[in-house]
Amino acid sequence: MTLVNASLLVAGVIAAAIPILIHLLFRRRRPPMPWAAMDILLAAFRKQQRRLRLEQILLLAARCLLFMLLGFALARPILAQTGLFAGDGRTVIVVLDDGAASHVRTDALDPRTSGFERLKSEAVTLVRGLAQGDSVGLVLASRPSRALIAPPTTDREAVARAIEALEPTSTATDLAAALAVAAQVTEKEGVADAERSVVVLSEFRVGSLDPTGPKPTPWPTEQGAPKLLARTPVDDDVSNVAVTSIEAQRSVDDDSVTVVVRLERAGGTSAQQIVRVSLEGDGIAPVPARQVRFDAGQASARAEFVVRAAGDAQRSVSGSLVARVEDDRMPLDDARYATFDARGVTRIGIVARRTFAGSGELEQVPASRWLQRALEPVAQPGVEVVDIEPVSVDARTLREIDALWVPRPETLPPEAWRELRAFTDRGGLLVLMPSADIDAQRWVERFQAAYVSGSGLAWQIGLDAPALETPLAFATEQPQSPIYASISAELTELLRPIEVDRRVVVTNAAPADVVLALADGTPFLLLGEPGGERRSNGLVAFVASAPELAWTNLPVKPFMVPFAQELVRQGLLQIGRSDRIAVGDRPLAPRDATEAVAPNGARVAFDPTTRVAQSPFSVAGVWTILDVAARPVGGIAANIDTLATRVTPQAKDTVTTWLAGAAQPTFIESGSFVTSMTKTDTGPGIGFWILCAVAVIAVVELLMARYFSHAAIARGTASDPGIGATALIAGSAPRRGGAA
Amino acid sequence: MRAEEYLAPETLAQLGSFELRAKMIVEGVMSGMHRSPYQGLAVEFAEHRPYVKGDPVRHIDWKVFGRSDKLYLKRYVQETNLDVVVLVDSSASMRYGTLGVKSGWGGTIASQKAAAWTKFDHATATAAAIAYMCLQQRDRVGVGTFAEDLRTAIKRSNARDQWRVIVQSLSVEPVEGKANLPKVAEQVLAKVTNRALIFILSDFLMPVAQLRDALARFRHRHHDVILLQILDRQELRFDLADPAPFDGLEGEGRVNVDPPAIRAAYLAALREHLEAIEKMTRGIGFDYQRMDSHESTGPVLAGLLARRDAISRRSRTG
Repeated sequence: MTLVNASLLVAGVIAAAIPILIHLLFRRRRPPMPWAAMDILLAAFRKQQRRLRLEQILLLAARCLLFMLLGFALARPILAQTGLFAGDGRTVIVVLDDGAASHVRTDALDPRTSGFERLKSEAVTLVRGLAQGDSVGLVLASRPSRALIAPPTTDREAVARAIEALEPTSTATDLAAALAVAAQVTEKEGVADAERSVVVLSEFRVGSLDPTGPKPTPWPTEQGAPKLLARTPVDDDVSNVAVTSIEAQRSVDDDSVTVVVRLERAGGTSAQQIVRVSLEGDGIAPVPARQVRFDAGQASARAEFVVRAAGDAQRSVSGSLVARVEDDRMPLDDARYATFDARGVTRIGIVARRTFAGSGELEQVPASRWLQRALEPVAQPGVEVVDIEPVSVDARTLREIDALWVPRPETLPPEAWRELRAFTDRGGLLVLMPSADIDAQRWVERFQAAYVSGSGLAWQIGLDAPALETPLAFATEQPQSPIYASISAELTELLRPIEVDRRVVVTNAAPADVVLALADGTPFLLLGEPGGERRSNGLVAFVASAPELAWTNLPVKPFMVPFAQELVRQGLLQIGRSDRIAVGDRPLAPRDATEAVAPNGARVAFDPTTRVAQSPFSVAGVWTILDVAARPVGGIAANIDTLATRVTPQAKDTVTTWLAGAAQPTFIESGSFVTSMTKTDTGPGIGFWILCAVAVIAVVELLMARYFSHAAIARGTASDPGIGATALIAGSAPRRGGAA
Repeated sequence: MRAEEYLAPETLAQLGSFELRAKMIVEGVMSGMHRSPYQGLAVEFAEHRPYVKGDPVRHIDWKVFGRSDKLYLKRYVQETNLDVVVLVDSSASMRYGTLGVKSGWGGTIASQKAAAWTKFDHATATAAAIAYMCLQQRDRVGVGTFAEDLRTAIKRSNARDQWRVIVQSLSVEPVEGKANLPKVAEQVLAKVTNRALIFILSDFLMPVAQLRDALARFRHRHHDVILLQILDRQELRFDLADPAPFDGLEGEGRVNVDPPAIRAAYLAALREHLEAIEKMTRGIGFDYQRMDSHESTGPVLAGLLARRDAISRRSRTG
């Protein structure tokens, strides 16, 4: 048995003391009454004492029971699953889609017309329409999916109020996880025996349910398994333009930054559309908005902005950026945020053993020297190149380094690889390459252990680099990588004279990681983000050929300088660009960060051990990073996952197929949800019967009270006025007195 | 104003003078007895005289007519050798009364304390009236009050100031203690050696056996006894509404009682007690009259006298 309002039962039990209190108080207030016929009164009292005590106990018990039962009835007890009383019974788990896709509106400017408001309204109507005794649970489908009300409760009104108070989140919908949570709730003790239904309230747009994404876990299929009910998917094709990325690329010529804003259009792609894109930023000079035109059938577009520092033209650009498009029916992805930092000194470390031998011939110049010359051909105010002995690679040294080149990886002591991983995790750029001094690249195993095993990188780097019979040129079509985007116009010409005589073959690399490719399709330069079990803010690059003349003529070609410098500059820009963090993520703390402050003032601390945010970033925008002294030391841009805001409707069959991964769904039209789910009460619940008992006890108490006390006065005095002054013995007369 | 109205306890309570109160009662009694006002309490056959036209037929002695074929009327004379003793209960239970009176009205000590017309007030007023009547017909009257013992005993006399002595004695008597009638009977019998008519005014809230014991002693000495049982109306009706602790006036203790709950049992017990007293009294051959202290004394006394007159006539004719 469960109680809807257990507090009322407690109140009833407390109220049961009222008759006792009244009894005690009344007893004490009466003044004593002198009485002459005391012997007769005592005789009557003793004769009636047991009966009177019994009457009083009965009366008191009836009154106390009245209060307790009243409290019990008002507490709305439910005898779940007993079958004793009609109206007790089912368990309904409502899975409510409160993810980003539910922000889609009917009216672009009115948030009350959002899909979530519709779903919420349907959920409330559904919950309130259930029969007395039905219990309701609530699971929210936005990531991370969670059971908001579990175990299910019979207080349907409380559930309805909880639903009404909900706001949609900005994170992606994870229906697969939500269905798994709902299944767990239905399997809990006390629920599993009931008739169970899981109702999925979602519009099933692509943002909520990606048919190519993870499939739901199959539910049990035995007798009495939960039923899966779902709202019929919507079919309105909403036109939406989303800002999908914002990238800052540092100019080669000056301190300006080129910002590329990418747009994606969904729905209404058959029509031509002009979208106004604006860019604002903290610390940059104002830039005029751009008009971007989508031709018929065009789904993606881009807009470029060249930004400079506000006020002082000589100052380097840094700060935050936000790109916006005009309001449309999906407001969540109309803006995108980014941060970048192109100011200050970039410290580049080159790990190499110091050599004192002269290197008169070009063939004997080691890679470290080539790199040093390429990175700092002339003294530049913003760049500082330092040599680091392999044995000096430790946390203290690496703390001051932004980018680290390791041309002789085999010279690193084994423990240095752990420091390198920590370096990239903190946000450093690590560039590795095969050693020109050895044939077998044994260091690869340590690299694999530090970066590949259990991480997001899947690169398989070859152990040897045999000399090629025919030197390899670069591929004529290079991958579209932002690293060399600023020189993309000259890139082909710059690569044309370069030949590669030896290189290490890297396999299993993701296409997105390939920055430069050779003519045989093998990668020359890879750039990837370590991930996996450990989170990382930095990047790892691998050059397949050592920059020495025995391996390639790159060091003596013009591309050598931009090759090294752009890799560092754009690589660090990418690391500093934090728009990769999605709302709902728990990002890794940047260097020196202890806490992040959201635009709305919310605060999230970083775990001092794991350096991961202790709770997800909940809102989009630039979060200010604070150090241990609560000083701002940077920012992290958190953006909406534009995959989660895709508003394209899906065919019912597609949704059916996907949901069938859990259980065969039954679709119900949104308008008929209530009538389909509402169970007609076939009889009153236990609360009704208890109230009937209360009424009966009240009547009995009334009769007893009248019979035992006050009513007896009226009855007694009316039928028996007492004893008069006349003789009681009829016809009796004294004989003549004794004196007669 | 009718005489009975003068005799209502409410009216009597307004009369500060005890004497006046008693006279009012007696006048009321007389007004209700048009025929032979001084006959009834103690009368005896005197002589025959010849019937003359106009005499009441009911006084003709039909036995003489049967023997001699002549009409004679029977004539009676008052007894002169019968003393009257009035005993008034002044135990604590007589202090009870619920008929409200003005404070400082000049009644007995008991009623002044209770600000009510108590049973003792009623008893003393009645006793004074009886004494007055008896003195009027030249009977010798003595009065005593009692509780555990015989507290005061006014010697029997028909002197002119006897009534005043009686009244003064009754008005100052304390009302307390517990009645012990057998003991009192012994004390009275020690003083009253000749045959007497004894009035006992009490609530008789005592064991019936005790009362029987006392009456038996009076019977043994050939005294005639009239019991006047005086009870308050509340005692007779017991129609109190609210629960309360009841305190016994004679030290019986205290008990919390819900009157409506035990009313029936109380009335039954009281009725049983009264019936037992009445039955026992009449069984012995004494007279018994119950009085409600809220009701007028005169009509009750008149009724008592009329009844005794009728009885004596039946016994003479019979």
